[in-house]
Amino acid sequence: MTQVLETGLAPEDLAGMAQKAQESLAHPGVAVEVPRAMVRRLERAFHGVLTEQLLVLREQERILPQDSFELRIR
Amino acid sequence: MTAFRYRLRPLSAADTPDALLADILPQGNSSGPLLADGSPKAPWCAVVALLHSLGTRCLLIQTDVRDPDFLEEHQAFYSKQHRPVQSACVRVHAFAAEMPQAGPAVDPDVLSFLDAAMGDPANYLGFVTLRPLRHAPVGATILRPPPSVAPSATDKFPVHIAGNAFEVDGTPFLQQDNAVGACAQASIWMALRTLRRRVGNAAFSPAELTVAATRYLASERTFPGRQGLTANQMLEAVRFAGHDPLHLIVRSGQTPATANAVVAKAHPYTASGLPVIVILLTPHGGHAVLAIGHSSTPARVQPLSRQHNHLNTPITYSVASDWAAGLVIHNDNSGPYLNLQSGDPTARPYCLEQTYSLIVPLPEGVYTSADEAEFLAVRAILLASLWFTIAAGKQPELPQAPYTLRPYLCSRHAFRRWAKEDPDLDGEARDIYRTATLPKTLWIVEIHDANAYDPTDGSKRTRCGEVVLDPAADALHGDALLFVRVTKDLWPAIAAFEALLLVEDTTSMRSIGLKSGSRSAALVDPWRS
Repeated sequence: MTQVLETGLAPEDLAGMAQKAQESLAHPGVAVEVPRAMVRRLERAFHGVLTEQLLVLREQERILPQDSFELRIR
Repeated sequence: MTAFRYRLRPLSAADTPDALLADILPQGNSSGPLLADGSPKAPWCAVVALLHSLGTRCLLIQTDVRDPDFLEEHQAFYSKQHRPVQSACVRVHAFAAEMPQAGPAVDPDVLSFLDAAMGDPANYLGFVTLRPLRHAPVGATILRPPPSVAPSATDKFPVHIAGNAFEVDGTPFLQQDNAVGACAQASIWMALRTLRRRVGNAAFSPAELTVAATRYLASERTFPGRQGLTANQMLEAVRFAGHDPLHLIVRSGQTPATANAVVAKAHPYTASGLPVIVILLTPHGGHAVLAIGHSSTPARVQPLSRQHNHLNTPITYSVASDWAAGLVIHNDNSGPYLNLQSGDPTARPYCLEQTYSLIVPLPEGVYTSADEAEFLAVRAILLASLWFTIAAGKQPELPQAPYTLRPYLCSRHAFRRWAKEDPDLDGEARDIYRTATLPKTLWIVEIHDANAYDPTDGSKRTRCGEVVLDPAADALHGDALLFVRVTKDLWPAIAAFEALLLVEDTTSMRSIGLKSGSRSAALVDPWRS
């Protein structure tokens, strides 16, 4: 089953990326350099993935409950 | 021959813990009744049961042992008593070899036995130090785990006896003496002693840990230390020993943690070979045990545990902890290599739901937590998925096959060793992994076929790639991604390509199509370098 991955990338950006991806995957063993601007657009597209969940987790893990200062471990 | 401190005795199934202890300890021991009713003898009973399960046939009794941990305890507390308390301990070494048939107890047969036992490393099973304390006899102890348990936080410790160098592969154990230290100190001692050879940091005695813990945060006397420590004092002691303690709160207010959540939190660290101090909130107060592994099963014990949503895209995957039912623990008041499983948090037996928080003594320079590493890996997999699918002329798609993530920390040496030795890894990827500049420690997030993954069989070829991350990067803003490799298994409908490797460095990203999309194997013992 296929599931579309929403990225928010513009079609023209995706077209350029598809060209680079095709260039490398169709020629195994050849390293294809991805332009920095393209990498930045990809980073921006995926930066939000799970970021909210991550921030919530950080809060949960870091905040000591009030009774932690009283609990004697013995 | 009065200085001769060794004797041999057989161990038989008929040996009870009390009788065995009475026979082992020196005659005329001033400790009086060996284990009075009500005394905490559970650890000694568990140790004797472990000796039996390991197939111990012969015990070497070594008297007049200057055990460095007990000497510190003695100096800090017991030496102050008016009635003398011995400072010397007895150490009991366990052997699988049969006891020699002939010869008096004090004769060269002991040395002959030891010299012969050296010939087979399987003979030596470990040692137990017995303190001259009738209320808490089990001191520094390292025994092999029983055959039914596979802890991950272990190391190989050299043991020198009469000119012979033996070795025991296990996790150090200690019973609290409830005077110099409580379970808090015992759990820290076990954790740091496990890591000492691997990491090289200090591993203090229980007495030193008590002093370190109470340097800045003391609400009462340092000794006796039976009042225990607070979580903050424990963190201070771990920090003082040169580790960077990560404190993960798993209990939310008055709501007990779920067993799954506790195992999932601890799993990436125990899978890294790191011991995890588990703070429990029991009906009788706070207690600490040391998680030294997890009990994995061939089949998944949890349903699909990760279901997120991003821009209306459902992101689902499973994690390796979904195949773990509980934790393997050392519990200083009940014994080594036990299971901590789901139970009733209001009842007396310890259970996962009583977990309050976890303390992980991380190696230096690890700023990314396991949760952060997991999320960074998902992002990298989505990036690779986009790249793989658009190369095939499609719209960006998610991986088509279900996958399982297995995150762990390991040294770059262990990662390179895996790359060198796995015969199914693509040659181009192997060369890059073996020669690229890498940080000392790595977060590796292995990607496995969820339908075939079996953590109990390391030989199975279920690995469809990995994400390699820099643990020192800022997980939220920094450049943590080093590599992501994915094979065609994640996109069964795309037959055009075998595998993809994306390499990130300071100036660029390189995309490399790989010739081989064969599955590879998990790195079973990532902590072994």
